[in-house]
Amino acid sequence: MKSLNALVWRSLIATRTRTLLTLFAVALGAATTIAVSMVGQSIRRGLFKNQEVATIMGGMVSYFDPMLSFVGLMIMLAAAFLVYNAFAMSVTHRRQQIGALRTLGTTRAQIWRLLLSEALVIGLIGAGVGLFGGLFLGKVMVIGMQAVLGGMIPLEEAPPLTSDVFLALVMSLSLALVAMLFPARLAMRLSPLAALKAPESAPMEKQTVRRAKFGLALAILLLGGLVVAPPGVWVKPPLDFPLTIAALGLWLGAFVLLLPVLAGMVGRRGRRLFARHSPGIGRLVSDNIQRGQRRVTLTVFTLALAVLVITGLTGFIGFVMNDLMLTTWAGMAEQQVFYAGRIDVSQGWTVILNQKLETMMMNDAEVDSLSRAVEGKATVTLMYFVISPELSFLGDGYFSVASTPEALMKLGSAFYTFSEGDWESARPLMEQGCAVLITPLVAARNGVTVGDPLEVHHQAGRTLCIVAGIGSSAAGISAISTPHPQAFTNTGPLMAFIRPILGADVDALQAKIRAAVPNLRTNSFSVYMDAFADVASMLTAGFDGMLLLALLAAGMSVVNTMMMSVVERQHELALLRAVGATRSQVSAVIAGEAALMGLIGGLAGAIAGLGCTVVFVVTYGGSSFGLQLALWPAALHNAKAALGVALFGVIAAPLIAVGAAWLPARHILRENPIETLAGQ
Amino acid sequence: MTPMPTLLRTHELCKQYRLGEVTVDALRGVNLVVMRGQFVAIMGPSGSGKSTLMHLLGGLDFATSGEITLGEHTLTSLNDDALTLLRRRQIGFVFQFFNLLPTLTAAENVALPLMLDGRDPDAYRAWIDDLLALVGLADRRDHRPHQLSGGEQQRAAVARALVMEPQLVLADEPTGNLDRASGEGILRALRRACDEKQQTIVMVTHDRHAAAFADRVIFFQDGRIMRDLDLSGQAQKRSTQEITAVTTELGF
Ligand SMILES: Nc1ncnc2c1ncn2[C@@H]1O[C@H](COP(=O)(O)OP(=O)(O)O)[C@@H](O)[C@H]1O
Ligand SMILES: [Mg+2]
Repeated sequence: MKSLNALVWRSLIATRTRTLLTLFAVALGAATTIAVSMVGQSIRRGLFKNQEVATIMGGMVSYFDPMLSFVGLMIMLAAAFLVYNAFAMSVTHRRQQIGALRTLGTTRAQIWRLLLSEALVIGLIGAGVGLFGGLFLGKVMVIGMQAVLGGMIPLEEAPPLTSDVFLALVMSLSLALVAMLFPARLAMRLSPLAALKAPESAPMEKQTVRRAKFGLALAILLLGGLVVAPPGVWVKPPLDFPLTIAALGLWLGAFVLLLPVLAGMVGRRGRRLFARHSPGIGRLVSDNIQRGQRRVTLTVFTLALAVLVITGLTGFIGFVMNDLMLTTWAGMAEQQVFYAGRIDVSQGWTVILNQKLETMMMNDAEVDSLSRAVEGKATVTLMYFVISPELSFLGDGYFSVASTPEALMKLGSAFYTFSEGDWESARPLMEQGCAVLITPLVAARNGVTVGDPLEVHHQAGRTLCIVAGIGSSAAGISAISTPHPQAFTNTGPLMAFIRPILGADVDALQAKIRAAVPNLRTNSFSVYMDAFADVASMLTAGFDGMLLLALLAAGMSVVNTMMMSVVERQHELALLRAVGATRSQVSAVIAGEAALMGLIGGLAGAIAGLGCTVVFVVTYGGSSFGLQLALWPAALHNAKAALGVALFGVIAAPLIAVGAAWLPARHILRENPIETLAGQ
Repeated sequence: MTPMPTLLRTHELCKQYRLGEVTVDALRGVNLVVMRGQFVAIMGPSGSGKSTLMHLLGGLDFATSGEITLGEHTLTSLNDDALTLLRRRQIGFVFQFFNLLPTLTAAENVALPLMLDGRDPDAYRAWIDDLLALVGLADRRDHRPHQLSGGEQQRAAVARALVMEPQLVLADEPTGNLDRASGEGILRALRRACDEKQQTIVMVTHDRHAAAFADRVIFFQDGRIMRDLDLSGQAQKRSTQEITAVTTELGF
């Protein structure tokens, strides 16, 4: 077996560029996973820096965790795709070589072992490089985010989670092996004869066309269904999430089925158009798009996926932040409710984290002065801070509040809107002892409905409560109605929600409070909402930045396919040179092809990404938050908000593709045409 | 007989290939003068430098030393773009293998140099049809290479080599891969280009019958010209005999 190992090494070294690319792909996958973990840990460590405040901050982490996991998953996905692409290309590229080995009597098992050993070597080295690259990348990202988000979200440099590092290493290794499995199987099945023939430019397969028709029908049915009966209107948790995933899956499935044919169609339709503008180059470009279907589809798909992810994520974050989160506060803002307390939320979390817990809670004297200051002009609802896993809206560390039934009812519709039950029916339940007002998401997770008992665990023990209402509350917070709210927490009230009476001068009221109780800050909810919207857009930018890594991975993948496409056709390109094509004309053929693929990929990705936003909004709706949203308008305005990113993708994808083509093009053009032609 | 003007001249043409430590002397001082309108065949054993010479004559590769002049141009002093233009407009090529672009039809392949020259191929339709008729492919104009036989592909390549009406046509074993009948079609097309349009043909061949179509046969060995045989005005059968005599003498 020694000779076989030698063969592996030789083949890896002989195809240095491609080996490096594949290695880079594997390393990038591992590195980004580790880097994202470091960012997550740094955010966590920053938030938990102050152990006392940690409980309060748990909720903040709940915002980040799903998003970080999502970004990590996306990057892993892109990396997986890239690695697969690299191996598939490497095997396709070496068909002849493999065929020759087969004719010389290499068994299938030997070919199999050869290719898998190759994958193993690349996987091992790639994982190692990825580990160090990831630690470095993570450090850079944390420092970058500290610079950008410093005031709003505290970050403190932290090592990645051991489990994440382990995951990254195992994944990149198994990724390399699994990615090689499929191409290796293909190579194994090659008959020696078939392998020795030059790869033919097969016409579009009938099957592909049939699949595309199916895809089109699927897309039309799905969108038609969403228009006629938007599931977001009726779906309830826990069904909402799986249903959304299913709808997104159908949409993406339709997209995957349609893409190859769309790419081919652009090539065919484009031929006449291109031929008119530039008889030689244009024709060749469009012809090259139509053949090598696998290669073209892979390139287009890679670029489309990258654009899809950044577009879709922008739409997704926009919807969650603006339509779901901010909408829950609309009642507070409309009724001019404002917040009074020791912490000033609008200054960002960093400030808060530098305080001690008891300094954040109001004392009795302050509460008294506050109540006296607004007497007759506003009602005061004191909120105690509760961390209860059962009541947590996101994850299990999201905060809830406890207050007296009267205080909660004073706040009323500004804070909470029933979708099941109403204030009248809730009142007796709220007054009999402990009752909770929760969102549909929380109700579904506990499997309870109005009138059901629910055991609530909290800082001070546990209490049996009754579900008094299901509906939407500000920020999704669950509210506990109890005559003794302080029994749920060992501290004083964290904040007061002040609801002015009709026609009161809110600014004067706030000024009066600040004058009467100098320790307290007041913030209108509109100020709070603005701050929140700022965080949302910063988050989007931050995630988009991370997703640029996905674009980078896509770019690497395109270098690979372009390399392959150029090497595959080097005889043709040399022939072009021989019959009088200048270097720049040959570059134009390669670049034109790349640009066209990039454009198709970018457009397809943009459309698919905007579609994902629409499908998500219309299917998921606001029911988990207890919101009744106008779904289609929400879908369209979020799609519109993501349009900028989509357009960026449409412009960036061809540029990336052309950039990726530059490397192989330069390589081929540097060579003498005749060396290539003679090389047969 | 009136002396024909010179079209192509090489002076002490040398080409070395460097393969790591080893250098291969593919051409060792070739001095050659080809007249306008002449059909020259080049024969010689494998590895004697015939292809290398063709590549240099066609400006596809650069000489190590020596000089090539084509008409008023000194090839050895032109840069890549100038060489490319010269190749496009003044030189036609036919190779042994892989002559056509697989995605283009026969007519489009023939029109390729026109298209590369930025001309509208539709304006040259009649001319392209004439050329396809000349090589016997009138009814194959819209076929793609994979729908054509090897001989047909090669004839399309000849038509393409002639489309720009180049002064010089270089053919490297154009019939090497074909049966006798297909080969003859190609040789006749080249002969006609030479007779009717005063185009100059330089053709490498291993086949004595093919060489007998030429006006002159140059015998090559070890990168040098060994013999220069004038066949002008001779009957084909006689030519074949003379060629056979020389090859036997040189031990090819
Ligand atoms: N690209 C190249 N690199 C190195 N050596 C070459 C190259 N091309 C040709 N040769 C060598 O140059 C000599 C002449 O080759 P060639 O011109 O192809 O001969 P012919 O066409 O007469 O068979 C041969 O010894 C060949 O091995
Ligand atoms: Mg040769």
